[in-house]
Amino acid sequence: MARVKKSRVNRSAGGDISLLLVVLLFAFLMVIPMYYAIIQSLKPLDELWIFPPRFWVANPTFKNFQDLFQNLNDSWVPFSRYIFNTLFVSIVGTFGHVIIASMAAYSLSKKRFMGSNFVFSIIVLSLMFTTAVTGIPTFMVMKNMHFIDTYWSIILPAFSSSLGLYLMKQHMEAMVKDAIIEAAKIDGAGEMRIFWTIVMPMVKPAWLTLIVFSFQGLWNATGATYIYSEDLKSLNYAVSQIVSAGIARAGTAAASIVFMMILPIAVFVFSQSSIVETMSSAGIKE
Amino acid sequence: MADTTTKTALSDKEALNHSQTKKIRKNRGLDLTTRRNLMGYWFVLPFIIGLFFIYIPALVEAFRFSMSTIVMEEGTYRLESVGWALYHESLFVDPDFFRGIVESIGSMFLNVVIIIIYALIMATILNRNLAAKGFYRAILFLPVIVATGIVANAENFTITTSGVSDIESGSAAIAGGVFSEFDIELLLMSLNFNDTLTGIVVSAIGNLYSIVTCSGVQLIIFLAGLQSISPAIYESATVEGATWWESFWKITIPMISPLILVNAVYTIVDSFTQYGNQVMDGIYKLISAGDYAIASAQSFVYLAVVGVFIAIVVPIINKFVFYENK
Repeated sequence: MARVKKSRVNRSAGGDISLLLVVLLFAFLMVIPMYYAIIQSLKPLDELWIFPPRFWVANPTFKNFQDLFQNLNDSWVPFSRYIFNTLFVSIVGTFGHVIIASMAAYSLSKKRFMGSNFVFSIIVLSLMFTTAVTGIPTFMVMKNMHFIDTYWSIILPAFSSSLGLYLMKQHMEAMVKDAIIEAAKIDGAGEMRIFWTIVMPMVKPAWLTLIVFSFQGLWNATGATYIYSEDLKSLNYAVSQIVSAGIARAGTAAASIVFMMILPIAVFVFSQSSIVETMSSAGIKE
Repeated sequence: MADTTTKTALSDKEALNHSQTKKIRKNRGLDLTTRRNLMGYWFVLPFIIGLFFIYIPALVEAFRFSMSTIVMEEGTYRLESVGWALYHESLFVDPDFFRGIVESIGSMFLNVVIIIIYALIMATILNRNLAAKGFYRAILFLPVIVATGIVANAENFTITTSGVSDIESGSAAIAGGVFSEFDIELLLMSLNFNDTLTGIVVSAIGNLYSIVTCSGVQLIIFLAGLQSISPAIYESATVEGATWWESFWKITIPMISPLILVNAVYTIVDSFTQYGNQVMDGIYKLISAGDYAIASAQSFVYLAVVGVFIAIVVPIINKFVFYENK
């Protein structure tokens, strides 16, 4: 893939280094707040309040993390329950969203049927509307469908998030050639087979990216509007409650920021590292 | 015509031929391609169900809100229609709303251009064979992970617990949420950074920072696009003697242009609806004050503005987008 093209191109080590410097500069900007959060989460109480704030720790301690887990364990519902809730919602929601959005995208990008443009317009429209305002009406809809206080109130809206569909549609339009679908049809493949064994592998980078977005969103969804049973609430909700206790818990807050970021980052790194070569034009001779 | 054919076929006593002709006639106008296309409905069905059962009813109800006064009753509410009065009020009476829209449009243009160029350049660099590129990718995506995370939620907590909408839930969290300088301020404050220092840090890196942090999603979308381009194309270009610069403009840009469109739309919407946008702040304020009706009206006006921009920008960009199949 990209690597092949690089090695052929004449470029100097100097160019490489200057590019690296540009990336490092931006990466540095991104890292400062994160670095500060991590440092802060490792500071013991007396160091937290030193002025001016220090960018290093003299006596690193895991006390803040201990406090965080202590607080979570003391809660009414076992800590593991919150983790299960969030994991369940994130995994089911992400899985469903990727499949539903990809199927719809396949159909909207590769098929012409009556109303397809209309459906697509509504999808773009729904990208634009602020969710804050549809909050109350959405609550009513959820209530009428008896989804309130169930996992579905978070999972179902995530299924039909428009951004994912739009991303998949553009990707399929650009990367999947009609010729290869045509060839599969002639060889007798059914629609499902074409979708799963030809289209989806070709747009692997797209849905791996979608997994990141979706997981990221669901992992951080509190669902506080739709869920009031304590044992269905999300990890994020539980942690937010601890953090919102104010400055007395500054160290714990920093610890929870770090704690809540671990899994989304892991998912991101995993998905980016599994984007290997996708030979979108393999199998076609022109 | 077809009947004559059938008769000829009969006179030739080819029974098989007869039945085939009949079959073809039965499906006239519904050839194989059309039938294949009809399969499209099945694929798009789950999505449509979600759209029509959850999203559209909510949108319609919100529209009814915007045309009414909401009278709260025990356990429910009643709507008393007031027509377009609230729209009139937001557009011609409210001093901030219209000005806010104008300013949002200005900053939107700047955002779209700068963010897309920056994201494209960074994605191209990160797609090269740099040492530890996975590490840089993760770092440049960090802001997106932080933005919808615990910092944002701790701040929203007061809003959510007061019984108003949960801004961060579900699809909203996926579509929205980009780290702005407002977020870094929150982050520093929630970490007990000193006030004055926070001010200095925020204003110093604010401008650069907000652009870098707003482009995490776009960057990843571009990266996915770059990785889908077949290396064979570059290879043959190099064999023909194209330089890197030429391949960039003649291969990379056209191949990735559909995603430039996605990113433009995403950035426009994001720029209009992100936290810290004047109009959005106004709407959130109205919601927390309980003025849902006028908040809905303002949102619909705003939706129309964003919609007009999308309707103008998309066809223009689409003219330059290269689709391999067309």
